[in-house]
Amino acid sequence: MFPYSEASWSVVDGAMFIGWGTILPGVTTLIAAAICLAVLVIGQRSEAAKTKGFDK
Amino acid sequence: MGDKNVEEQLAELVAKVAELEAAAGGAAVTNTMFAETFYYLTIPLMIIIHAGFLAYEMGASRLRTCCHRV
Amino acid sequence: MKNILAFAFMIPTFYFFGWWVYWGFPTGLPGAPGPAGISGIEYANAIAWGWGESAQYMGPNIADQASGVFFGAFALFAATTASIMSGAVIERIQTVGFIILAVVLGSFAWVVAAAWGWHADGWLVTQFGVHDFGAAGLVHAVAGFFALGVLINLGPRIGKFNADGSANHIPGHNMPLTITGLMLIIVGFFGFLMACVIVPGEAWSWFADKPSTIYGTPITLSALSFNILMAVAGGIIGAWLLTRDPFWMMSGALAGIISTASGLDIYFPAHAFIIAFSAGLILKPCADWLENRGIDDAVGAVTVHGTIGLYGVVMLGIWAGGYPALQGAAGEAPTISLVGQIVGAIVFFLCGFVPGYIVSYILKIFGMLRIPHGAEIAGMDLVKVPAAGYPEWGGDAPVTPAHPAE
Repeated sequence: MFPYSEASWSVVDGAMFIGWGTILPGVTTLIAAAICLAVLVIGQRSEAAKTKGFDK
Repeated sequence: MGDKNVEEQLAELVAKVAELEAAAGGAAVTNTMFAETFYYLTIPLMIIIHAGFLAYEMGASRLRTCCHRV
Repeated sequence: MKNILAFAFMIPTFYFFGWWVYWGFPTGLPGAPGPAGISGIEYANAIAWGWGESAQYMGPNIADQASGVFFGAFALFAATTASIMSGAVIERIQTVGFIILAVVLGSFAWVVAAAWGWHADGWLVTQFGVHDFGAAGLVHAVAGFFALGVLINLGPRIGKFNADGSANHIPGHNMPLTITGLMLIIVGFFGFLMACVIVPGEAWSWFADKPSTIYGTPITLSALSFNILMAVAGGIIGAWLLTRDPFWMMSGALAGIISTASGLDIYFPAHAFIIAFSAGLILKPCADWLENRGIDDAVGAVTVHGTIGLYGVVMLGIWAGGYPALQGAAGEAPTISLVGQIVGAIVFFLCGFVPGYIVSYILKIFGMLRIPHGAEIAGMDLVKVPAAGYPEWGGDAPVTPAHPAE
């Protein structure tokens, strides 16, 4: 996964994170955003179900 | 520099070198001061970890043992 | 009391011999010098003893503006390591026994792991390409599994487990204080991780013009800032999804940092977020699993620091294979690999668990490990501490004369 051809840090002069130059950063950004949304949806549902029990 | 003689030019060069050396020395001192300050500041920040552990453990213990935790 | 005292004992013992162990044994026994020329018993003898010639590096010295602050940062690492164990053993351990364990852990066990897996001459680094920038394995996992070793000999708190082996929840007396404490630990983490960066300008600097990790590989404070913040967020969200419990959410924040600490220098922020999220998710199930094995880890330290620490070390092996683990030319510098990280994880586990188990076993033989039954029931404040946490509660606070009677 090292984004440079030689396995040495001396050739690195820019981005150094895992997956630079591949689709990985974009994919992880999308997944992270999706996680945030999904957690909110699940959270809303379960909380609504719990709070409903206290009405009436 | 055309109308200056060689000696004058040399003197100018010597002065310039001394100036550069002084600047480099200053940069090294700045670097050393920075490094020392950098690590010095991590120490109180890490003492905050201990403040955290103290509060955390006191809170997590029952009333009759909370002081022993500290 | 026990935590304050442990801190106070960690600092001098680290001064007396912990610092020497770090510089002496990166290449393993018998302490031969390593390729970087800053390790081995001879080198340690020259700089890390508080007497003779080497004392000049262990005290105020106008020509040495590095040793003191470096020692200070490492001593605080040591004290932090010892404190991690502290939470697991609350409400039943003896004070002196605990201090002995803290000293063994903080001034010896983790220092050995650091010498092997952190120092540029460490054999785990040079031979297996182990990369553990933020000490997920060599601080957190070592401390977590040291605590596990102690817990096995210490046993659970009275009332923690029922006769049929099922566990009870023993609530602490102050949840807001616990949460605030966890948040302070997050604050302190920034200092801890900042101290893992080697900046230019001192004798051990890799470069004169740029910061590096302790391995001489590149790092920036910006990288830390990106990844720590995303990891904290990921851990909290993961733990919330599963537990809805503020205690576990803040533990999830810690788990988020610890699960990504090994690679905070090279993770992409969203990537760190996802790994931290997964750590937050598995946190509570891992803690429950341990509890069902009869281990009473009062604050989840074994799980948060131990299990998640090793999870992070191995995770980096999955994602960062091929990354040079050390500064050096291509082909010469060791590279990160999954196998190497797993070897590292196993060694870190043993560095913690073995001394924790053995020393606590010896203490148990001498009756120095656990407080007697009656004292535990009465509560340790009453038995050992001449101060009360909340004197108005539960009856009148005893009135004592300000001066001895004449």
